[in-house]
Amino acid sequence: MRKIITIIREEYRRRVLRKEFIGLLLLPLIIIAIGTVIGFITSESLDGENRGVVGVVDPRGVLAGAVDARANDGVTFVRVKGAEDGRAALMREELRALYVLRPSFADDGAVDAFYLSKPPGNDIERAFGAYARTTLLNEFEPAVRARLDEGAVFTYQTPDRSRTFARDDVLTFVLPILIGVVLIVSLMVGAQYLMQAVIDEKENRTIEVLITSVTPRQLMAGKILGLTAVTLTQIVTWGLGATAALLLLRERIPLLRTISLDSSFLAAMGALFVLQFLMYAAIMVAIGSAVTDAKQGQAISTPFILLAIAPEFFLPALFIDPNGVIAVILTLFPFTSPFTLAFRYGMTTVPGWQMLVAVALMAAAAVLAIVAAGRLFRVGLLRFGQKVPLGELFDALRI
Amino acid sequence: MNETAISVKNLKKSFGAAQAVRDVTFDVHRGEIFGLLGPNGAGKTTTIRMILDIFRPDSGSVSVLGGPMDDSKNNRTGYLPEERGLYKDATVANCVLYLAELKGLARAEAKTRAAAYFEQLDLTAHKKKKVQDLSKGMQQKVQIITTLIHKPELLVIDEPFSGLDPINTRLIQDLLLAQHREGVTIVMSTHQMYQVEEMCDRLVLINKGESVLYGAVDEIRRRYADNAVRVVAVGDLPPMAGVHETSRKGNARVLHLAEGVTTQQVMRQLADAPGLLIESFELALPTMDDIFVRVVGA
Repeated sequence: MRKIITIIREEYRRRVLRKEFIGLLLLPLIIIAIGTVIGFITSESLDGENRGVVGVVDPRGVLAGAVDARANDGVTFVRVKGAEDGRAALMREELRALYVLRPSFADDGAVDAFYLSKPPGNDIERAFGAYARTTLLNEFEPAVRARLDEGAVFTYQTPDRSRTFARDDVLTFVLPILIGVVLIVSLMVGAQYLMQAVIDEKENRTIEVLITSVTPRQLMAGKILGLTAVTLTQIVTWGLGATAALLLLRERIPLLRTISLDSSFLAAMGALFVLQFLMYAAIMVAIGSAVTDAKQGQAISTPFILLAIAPEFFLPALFIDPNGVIAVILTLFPFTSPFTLAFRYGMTTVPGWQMLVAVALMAAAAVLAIVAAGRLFRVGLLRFGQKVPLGELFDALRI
Repeated sequence: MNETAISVKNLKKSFGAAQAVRDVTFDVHRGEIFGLLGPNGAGKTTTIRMILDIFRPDSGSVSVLGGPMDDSKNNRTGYLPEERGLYKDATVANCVLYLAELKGLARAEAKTRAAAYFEQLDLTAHKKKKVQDLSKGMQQKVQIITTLIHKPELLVIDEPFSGLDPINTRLIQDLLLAQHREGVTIVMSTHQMYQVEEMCDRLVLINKGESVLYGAVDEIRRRYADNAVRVVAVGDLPPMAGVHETSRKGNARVLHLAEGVTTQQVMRQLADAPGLLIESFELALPTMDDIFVRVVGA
């Protein structure tokens, strides 16, 4: 065990101290930090654009009977008698903007909008629309007015209410996919690095010294766990950075408040990712030990990488029927499981049993891959400069 | 009776259709320096790898330090492979410490021993450099430190002097002889036959995957010696009875004796020769180089 820990520590140290790793670790954090700053600046600017007093000239009295002023997300609408008065108030900067309803407003909703330096933002336009609708519905109770204005809000739920999903939550749709993509990229980078490390040790003959100091199993376990720790460091750091940015911006950008990822999804994704990483690491170690150089390793590992991103080829089918047979198969198949689950989570309510079965199958696949890799590792390890015949590899896999 | 450190019996190993080792048998005694010789491609490295359990033999048996090789014996064995294996982008110190820890040494102890070796092998000023920035000879010295640092009972070293200048060759030779004096068993594979003559107690010569010569170095040299004496003398040699041929080898003359003629008879004639000053008189033993060429070239 002590030797495995030594290998884990060395693999971790050697990887995280590399400039490339530090660069890869910091790049998304820098992007998140820049995004946060831009978010702040934009929200400040939008606040200015979307706040203030807007004068409304209603020559035909379409909005007659409405309250004179109504605050809506920082916007206040006030009635102005005529367009000339309104323009004068605008020039005195008493108004942020002036809306003059055309005579045809009741039929086509045409409004002439006047402003001084910057046109009013979209939020003001939306607020005016809401103002106009609620004013026209003035005869109803305020609560009924609000309901008619907002329409129905659908929240899809599993029968046991353990998972919910709302179609309007754009970020709840996008975020899981984003998480899936980040995890897949991390998986590929980490697993490829591991394969390269094994090939390097074969090429520079370090492996011969190592193998007379530790058993192939200890060596493989140390390498896989060391690289898993490296990749988890990467993901946890990125996750903490993203969470900090979300918390900072949440109060300023209302859209971010709609994000909700339930714990069962996060737990399933976490478990699937760690297990899939172990499975891929074992596969890459086996490939690295069996090939003669990096080029050959890339060629053999490419089909496995394509498998992990295979759900992208099925996106139309997943969009059309996120609970269909293809979606379920891709969720349960270990190579495609995490990405498919992430994608489906944003579109539908994935039944709990599917997540559980996916995790169980992934665990079985990871164990199988590690056992098989252990056998291939020993066979391939010391065949310097020559391919290991397929027959020998199959012999090694026999129980 | 000598205690056996390594026992190799009828080893065979093939890679596909190529038979790398056909039939190799030998014993290595505890505390001796044992030469593992053979031309390129003879099967020496494959034999070493089977001894160290890197490869499993197709048939035959290997016993190391009293039984099959296992993880605990890894820590009691030091291996210097022919093709050096160091982490090129690691610093010298980190590389040595990591490999020492994998041999079961605690990091603190490894640091102390590494510092002593760096000092002894003149590497202290280079310990923070990357391995790839060292000369080939320096890398070789680092590799030797990683082989010795855990104080193994058994050393298996493949071409330990390659890439070293005469001063460093002497340094490493002294280091290995010091290990020998401490009772470490050393199996040394080398092409430098004078090193074998100087350092090895016994040897096995492998050719085309088979052990073709095996025994004590002195005994083998005597076995291959002609009936001849080597003489270094000032003055002309007189015609001598029983000497059928005289040849020169450096500053010495080799007298080939007729069958049944003894060295004493020749020595008496030389002693009686007027004006001849004898500086050296010895049995003309063949060098290991000669024996190697005769056995392998046959």
